[in-house]
Amino acid sequence: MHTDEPDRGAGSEDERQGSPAALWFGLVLIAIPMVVYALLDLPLRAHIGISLAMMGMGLLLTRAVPDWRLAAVFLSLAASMRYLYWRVTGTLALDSFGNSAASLMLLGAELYAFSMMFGGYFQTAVMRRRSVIPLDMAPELLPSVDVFVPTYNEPVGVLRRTLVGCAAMDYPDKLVWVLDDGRREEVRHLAAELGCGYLTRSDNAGAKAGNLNAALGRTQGTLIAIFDADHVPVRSFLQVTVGFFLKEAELALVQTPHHFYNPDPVERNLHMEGVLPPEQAFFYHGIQRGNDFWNGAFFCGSCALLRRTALEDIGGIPTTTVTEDAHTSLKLHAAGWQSAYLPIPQAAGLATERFAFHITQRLRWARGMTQIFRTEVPLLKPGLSLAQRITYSAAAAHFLFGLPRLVFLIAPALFLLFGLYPLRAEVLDVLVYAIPHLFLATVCTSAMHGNRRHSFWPEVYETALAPYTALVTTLTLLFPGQQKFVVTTKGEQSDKRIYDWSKAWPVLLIGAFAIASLVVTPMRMLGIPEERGTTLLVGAWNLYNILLLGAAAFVALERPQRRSEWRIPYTCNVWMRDHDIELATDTGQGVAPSEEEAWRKAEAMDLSESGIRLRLWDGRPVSDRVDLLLELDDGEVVALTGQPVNQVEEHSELLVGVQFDALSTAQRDQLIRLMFTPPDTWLRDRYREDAPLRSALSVVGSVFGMFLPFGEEGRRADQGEPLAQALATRRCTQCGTVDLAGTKLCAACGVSLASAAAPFAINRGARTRRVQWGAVLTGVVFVGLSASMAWGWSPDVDRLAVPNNAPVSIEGHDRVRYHELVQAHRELRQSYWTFRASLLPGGPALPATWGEKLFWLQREYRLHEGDKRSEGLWQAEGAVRGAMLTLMSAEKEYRSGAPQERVDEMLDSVHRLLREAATHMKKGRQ
Amino acid sequence: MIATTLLHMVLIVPPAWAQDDEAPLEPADQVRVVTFDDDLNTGGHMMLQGVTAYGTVTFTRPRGWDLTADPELDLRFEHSAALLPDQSNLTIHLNDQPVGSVRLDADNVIGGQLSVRLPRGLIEDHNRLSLVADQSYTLECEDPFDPALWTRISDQSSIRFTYRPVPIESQLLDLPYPIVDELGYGASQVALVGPASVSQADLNALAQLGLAFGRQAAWHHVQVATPAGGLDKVNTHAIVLGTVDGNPVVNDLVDTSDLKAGQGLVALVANPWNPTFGVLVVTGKDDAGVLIAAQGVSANDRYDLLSGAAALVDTVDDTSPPATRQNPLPAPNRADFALSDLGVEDRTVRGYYAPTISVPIRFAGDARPRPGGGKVYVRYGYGAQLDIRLSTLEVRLNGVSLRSVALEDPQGSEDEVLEVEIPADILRPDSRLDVVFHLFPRDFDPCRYISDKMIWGTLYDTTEVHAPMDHYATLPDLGKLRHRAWPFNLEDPQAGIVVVAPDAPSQAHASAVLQLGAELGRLSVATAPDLSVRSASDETASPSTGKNRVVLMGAESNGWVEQQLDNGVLTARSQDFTKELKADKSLIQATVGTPYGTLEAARTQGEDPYNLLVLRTPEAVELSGMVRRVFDEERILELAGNLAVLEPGGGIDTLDVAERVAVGKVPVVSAARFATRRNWLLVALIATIAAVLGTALVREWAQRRSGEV
Repeated sequence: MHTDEPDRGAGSEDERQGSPAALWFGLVLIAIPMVVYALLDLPLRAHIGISLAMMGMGLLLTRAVPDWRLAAVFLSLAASMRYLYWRVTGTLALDSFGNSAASLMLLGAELYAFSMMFGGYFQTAVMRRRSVIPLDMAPELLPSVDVFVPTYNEPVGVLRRTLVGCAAMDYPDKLVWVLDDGRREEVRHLAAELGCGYLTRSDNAGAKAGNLNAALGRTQGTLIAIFDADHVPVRSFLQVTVGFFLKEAELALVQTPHHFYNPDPVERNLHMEGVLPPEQAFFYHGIQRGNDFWNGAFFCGSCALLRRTALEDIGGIPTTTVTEDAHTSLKLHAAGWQSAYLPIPQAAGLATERFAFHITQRLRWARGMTQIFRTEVPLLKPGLSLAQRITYSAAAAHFLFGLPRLVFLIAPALFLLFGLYPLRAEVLDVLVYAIPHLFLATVCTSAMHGNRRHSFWPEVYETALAPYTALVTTLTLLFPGQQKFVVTTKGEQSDKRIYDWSKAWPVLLIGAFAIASLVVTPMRMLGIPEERGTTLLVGAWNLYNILLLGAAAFVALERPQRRSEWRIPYTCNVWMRDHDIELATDTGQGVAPSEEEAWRKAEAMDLSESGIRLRLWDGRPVSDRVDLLLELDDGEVVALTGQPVNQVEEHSELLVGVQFDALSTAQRDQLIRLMFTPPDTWLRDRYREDAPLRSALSVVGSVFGMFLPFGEEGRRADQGEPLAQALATRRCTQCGTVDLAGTKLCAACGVSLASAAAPFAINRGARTRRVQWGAVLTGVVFVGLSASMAWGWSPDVDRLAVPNNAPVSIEGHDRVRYHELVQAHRELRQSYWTFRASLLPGGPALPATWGEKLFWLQREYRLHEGDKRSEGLWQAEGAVRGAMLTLMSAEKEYRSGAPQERVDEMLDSVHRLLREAATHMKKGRQ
Repeated sequence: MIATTLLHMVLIVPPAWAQDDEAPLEPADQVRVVTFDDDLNTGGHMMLQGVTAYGTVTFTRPRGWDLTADPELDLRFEHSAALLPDQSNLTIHLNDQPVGSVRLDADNVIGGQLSVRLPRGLIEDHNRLSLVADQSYTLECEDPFDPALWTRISDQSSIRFTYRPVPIESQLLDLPYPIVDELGYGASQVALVGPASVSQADLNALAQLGLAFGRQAAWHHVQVATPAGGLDKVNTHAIVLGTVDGNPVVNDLVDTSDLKAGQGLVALVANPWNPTFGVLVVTGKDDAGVLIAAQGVSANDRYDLLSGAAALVDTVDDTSPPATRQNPLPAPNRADFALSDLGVEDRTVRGYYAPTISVPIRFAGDARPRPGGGKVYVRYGYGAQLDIRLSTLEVRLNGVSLRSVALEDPQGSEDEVLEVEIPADILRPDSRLDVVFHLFPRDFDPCRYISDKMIWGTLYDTTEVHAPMDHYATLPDLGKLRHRAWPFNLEDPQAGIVVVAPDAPSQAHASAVLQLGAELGRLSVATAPDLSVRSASDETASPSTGKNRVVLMGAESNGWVEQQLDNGVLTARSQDFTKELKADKSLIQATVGTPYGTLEAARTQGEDPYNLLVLRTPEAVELSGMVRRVFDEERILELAGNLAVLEPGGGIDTLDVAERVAVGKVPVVSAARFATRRNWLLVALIATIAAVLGTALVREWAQRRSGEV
C-alpha cells in the first residue's frame, strides 16, 4: 500500500504502517468483554443499570470527546449484538404459521439492518487522509488525457454546459470526446463548434458501458476522464487528479465526488433544501473516504479519471450489469489494481428533479448493485482483500433495503390488525434490550456521519423507494441476467404543483394499513387489557411508521419547477448601471454622472444562465433596464444587459433580481465558465452537524409543515457555519490560471511558480468537534444512576418484572376481583368520610341503617377470607377487610357512647388501612 | 439362559408342630386403626368448598387380612356456621355406594364426629371413599364461591379395621408378598434369621434382596430386625438365608438333599410356629448357591424363575432388580424432559375448586440451575362451557406464581401451550410444579343450579421442562443426603456403592446390610443399581476403583471402623482431621453422653474422592436401626455438615469438622455468568475501557496508514 505522506524516516514499510494481523489480534482480545456483555443474562435491575451505564458511556464518548467516538461504536455493536442474541434465542413466535412467518420476516429484516449498520461503521471508521499530488514536471511530459462525455438523449443545452466545462479544464494535453449514442446532428455540430471530437456508433450495444468501450478502441489517451452529460467539471479537475497516476503505477482510478447544484426531489418537495445534506453527501464524503482507506474506492461512472491500461486489463468496462461503474472498480480491485478517492468536488451535475425520475435512477442502481451482489458475490470474490469484500458487500447489499423496510412498516399492522406476533416478548424485556441498541446506534451513527447525513432522514428516503426496490431487487436476485439500461431524465420543467399518484400509491396503500392500525390501537387496548403494554409499544412504533410514510407520501407532491436553469449561490464583483442613463459629456456640463460615476458596485448573490441576484449597498432604486459587468475569476469580464424583475429593500441594502436579455452564444459560454468552472465553486455547501433529536423533529415538521402555506421559494434553512473553506488558491502571474495543485509550473502557460510551490492540505470536510454539554450531562446522569444501582440503590423495578415473583398482569378472575375490590374500597372510603363528618359539631347524624349498609357492603364484596390470589390483591383484600371491620367496630363504639378519642383512634386506623389497601391494589395491578 | 427346576411340596419339611401333633394357636382377631394423615396420606385437612363439594380418600385392604367385622369410619369434621342445617349435609360413599350421612348443623360446627360402618361386602383391594358435602347458606340464590360454604375433614379421621391374619400360602409367585405387601399399611417388618457365621456372599445376597424389597416397598419402608433366637421367637415375616450347612434353620424348613453345589434354592413357607407369618428361605449348598438364590428372588424377571412353594435356581441372566414404584420419578439427568419421563400421566381436574395439580420435580443433589434459569412449556386442554372472562390457568413453581393465562376459547381447546420462564433463583433440586385451573362455568346464575362437573382442565404429560443444570457441590456434606440420599442413591449408572464389611461380620452386620439395601432400593430408580459388599481385607474393595461410593458401618465397641479410617486405605483423611474429629468426639460425649450413633461423610482415596459414608453405633446390634434413622424421610432433612451425632432421644447434632472442597466441574460459562451477574457494572466499565483501547489501537494503526479515525 502506498502512502502520500512524506517519508517519516527510517524503518521498514511494515513497521511504519503497522501489521494488520496485530490489529486484528488486538481487536479480538478487546472484543471479549463486548461479547461477554452481549451474552450476559441479568436480573432486571442489573439489566437496567448496565444499560444506563452503556448508554451514558456512549453519550460521553461521542459528545464529550468526539475524536474517540469510535469507542462508542464498539459499545453500540455490543448492545446490538446483545439485542440480536436475545431476539434470536428468546423472542421468536413459532407457534403457528402466521406467527412464524411474521416472526422470521421481522428477524430477517433486523439482521439485515444490523449487517448494514456494521457495514456502515466499518466503512466510516477510518478515513483516508489524501492530499493533492503536485504535477511536478514539464507540461509536455504529462500523460495525455481523453475526456469522454457519453450522451444518449440529454438536452443539447445540458450537454453544452458539460462540454464548455470540459474544454475549459486546465491541462496541456487533453482531447474532449462526445460519445453520442443518440446519433444526433445537433450534437455533432455542437462538438465541432466547441472543438471537441465526436464519436458515434451504429448500435447502442452495452448502453453506456458499450459506448465507452467503443470510444476506448478509437482513442489513444493514456488516461481517460469520464463525465456524464450533465456533469460540468471545474477547471482544475485534471490538475488535481493526474498527479496520483504519476505517483502510483498500479493506480487504475481516481474518483472525485458527484456534486449536485439542485436539490433532489425529497429535499425539494419536502422544503428541506439547504437544511438537509444531500442524500449522496454521506456516500461521497463518508463512505468513499472510508473505502479509500481500504483501497476500495468505487468508480461512480462520472467525474473520474482512469488508466487506459487498467481498463484494457479487465477487458474494458463490464457490460453485464446496469451499474457498470461499480462493476468496473470491483473487477479492477480483484485484478490487483489500486484506486484513490479525492474528496474535493471537481464537477457538478443535475440531481433528478422529479420523484418519478428519482425512482427510475435508484431502481437502476438497485438493479445493478443487486446484479453484482448476486453474480459477483463480492464476499467470496477471489483477488479482493477482506476489507474490500466487506465494503463491496455492504455497498451492494445496501440496495436490498426494500424488503426489510417494508417488513418494518407492516409489522405493527400485522399485530394490531391481524393479531400476529412478529416477536413474542414481554414489554419490559423489549424495552431493556431494544433501548440500548437503538439509542447507541442512533447516537453513534449520528456521531460518525456528522454533517453528512442527518438521522431519520435515510428512513424517509428508504420508505419512499422501498415498494419499488423491494420488487426489483427480489426479481434481480432471482433472475440476475442482463437488464435494460434506463437513462435518467433530467432538465424537466413544470409550472404547477402536482401529486404523482402513479408513484405514490404503494406508499399510500401501506399508509392506509398503518392508519387503520392506529385506529384499532385504542380499541385493542381496551379490548385486550392484558396486552395493553404491548399494544401501546407497537402503537408507538406504528406512529413512527406513519410519520415516515407521511413524509414519503409528500415526496410525491411535486413542487412547480418553472426555471429552466438552476440558480447557484455565487459571489463575485458586479458593476451595474442604468442602461438608459445619460452620461455627462467630456466638457463636464450638466448634472449627468460621468462614465465612472454611472457604474455602481454590487455583489452577486446567486447566478443562473438566465439571471442574477444582486446586492446593492447605496440603496438607490434601479431603473427598468440595466447594464452589467461580471468579473470572472480569471480576470475576464462579461458584459450583459437585463431587466430587474424584483427589488427588495433589506435594511439599507437593495436586493435586485435581474433577468438577462437574450444572450449570445459567447456570452452564455462565458457565463457557464463563470458559474461552473472556478475550482472552488462547489466547496461552499454548508450543513449543520446532525443532532438526532432535532433531526427527528425535522421529520415531524416536514410532514405537518406540508399543511402550512408556503411561499414559492419554500423554506430556507439556517445554513449554519461553513464546513468547508475555500481552497487557498493562487493564480499564475502570467495567465491568471488558478493553481490548485501547488505545481512548480503553471499547467496552462508553463510559467514557473516554484517560489510558491508547496502542496497544501485539502480541506477534509471537517466535522465540528464541539463538546455538547447537554448530551454530556445526560451521559453523566446515566452513568451516575447506573453506579448508584450497582452500589445498592434499589429502585422498585422488580415488581415490573414479568416472570418473577408475582404475576404482573392481572388475568381472569384476578382482574374481576381487582375491580370488585376497587369498588368496595371506594364505597368504604365514602362511608368513612360520612362517619367522620358525623363526628363534627353540627355534622349530619349517622343514619340508623348505617351499620346494616356496612354489613351488606361486606357481603356484597365478599370481604371474608378468600382463596389466595395474587399477592398484591390478597394483601389489599386483607387491608380492606380490616378497614371494614374496624369501621363496624367504631360504629358500635360510637353508638354505645364511647369517648370520641376512642372513636377517632379507630377511625385513624380505618384511614391507615384504606391507604394501605390502595397501595397494595396499586402493586397488585402491575 | 434361565435354568429353573420347580420343586414341589415334597421338599418342604413338615412343620415341627405337625411332627409333634401339636397344632398352633388359632389366630386371634386384631385391630388396626388407619388414619387419614399417617396411613392414607391425605396431606392435611381436606376442604370441601362450594354448593356441592367432593372429596375422595382411597384405602386398601391388605392381603393378609380377613375382615371379621365391618370396618368403622371415624370421621372428624368442622363446617361453616353459616350453613343452613336443613339444606346441608355430608354424605359418605364407599365405592360409589352411600354408606352414611350427617346433617351439618349447629351441633357439629366444631368437633363434628361421624361414625359410619363400612360394609365388608363392599370392600375390595382398592377402595374409594367419597365425601360429598351438600352445602347451602341461603334459601335463595346460592353463590357457590361464597366463602361461607365449607366443610373441613380432619386428617385425624380414621378407619378401624378388625381382622384376622390369614395363614400364608406357600406360593413363590406371590413374591414379594408376604415380605412386602403392596396393599399393606406402614412399614414392612421382616426378621433376618441368618447363619451363625456370616460370609461375604451372604452379605451380598442380603444387599440384593434388600434392594429388591426396597424397590417394591417404595414409599413404605422395610424394617429389618435381628431376632434374639430362632423362628419361634419371630413375630414378623422372616428371611432365612445361608448355606445349608451354615444355617441350621434351613434344613428345618426345606429338604435340601438334592441340592447341588452352585445351585440356589428359594422357598416360601409358613412359619411353623405362626403360619400367618411367611418365611422366605434363600439357600444353597455353598456361597455361590446362596448368592444365586438371592438373585433369583431379587431379579426383575423372578416370575420366570420362581413358582410353587420352592424352586431351584441355576443361573440368573439379568440380575437387575424390579422396576421402582416411585411416582413421580426424579428428573432424568438431562436438560429437557417431559412429565411423562417422570412417570406422570395426563391429569384432569374438574369443578369450581379444582384441586391444584402438583408435580414434584427432583434433581440430583449436586444439580445447580444455570444462571439463565429454565422454561416450562405447559401443554394443557380445557372443556367448553367455561366463562372465558374469568377462567384462567396459573403456573407456580415452589409456591411462586410465574404466569397465568386466560382460558379464552369458548369451545374449549385440547392443544394449548403456555411458555413459562423459570428464574434460576427459584429453581431448586427439590422443586414442585403446581398447575392450577381456575374454572368458572359460563352463564353462571346464582339463582339457578349449575353443576360444575362439566368444567374441566387437563394437564398433559407431554408438558416439557427445560431446566439446564450444572453439577457440582462442596463435599463432604451430609446435607446432600436430603436429595434422595445423593450421592448414595445409586442413580449414577457409572457409579456403584461398596459396603465395606469386617472380615468376620456378625448377624447384626448382616441385618444392617439388608436394611441398607432396602433403603437404597427405595430411593434408587436406576435400572441396574450396583450395590456390593466387600471385606475390608479384600483389596478389590479399595474405593479407588472408578466412581464407587463407599459405606463403612460398624460398632464403636470393637474399634474396627476407626481402624479402617486411620489406616489410610479407605480415606485420605488428614491427621488434622482425625485430631479434630477426636477432639469433637470428646466434646460430643461430654455434651450428650454416649451417642446413639454417628454419621460421617468423608473423603475416599478414589478418583471421585468425597464419597465415603461412615455409620457407627456403640454396638453392632443397633446398626440396622441406625441405617433406618439416617434414611428416615424426616430425619434426613435435618442432616448437615459432615459429621452428625444422633442422640438416643432422636435429636441430631451436626458438625463441620472437615474442610469442604468443590467436587464436580463448575462450568466456566456458568461461573463466568454468576460472576458477571454479581459485578455487572464492572462488565460495563471493562467493556468501555476495552472500547477505548480498541479505538486507540485503530487510531494508531490508521495514522500509520494515512488514515484518520
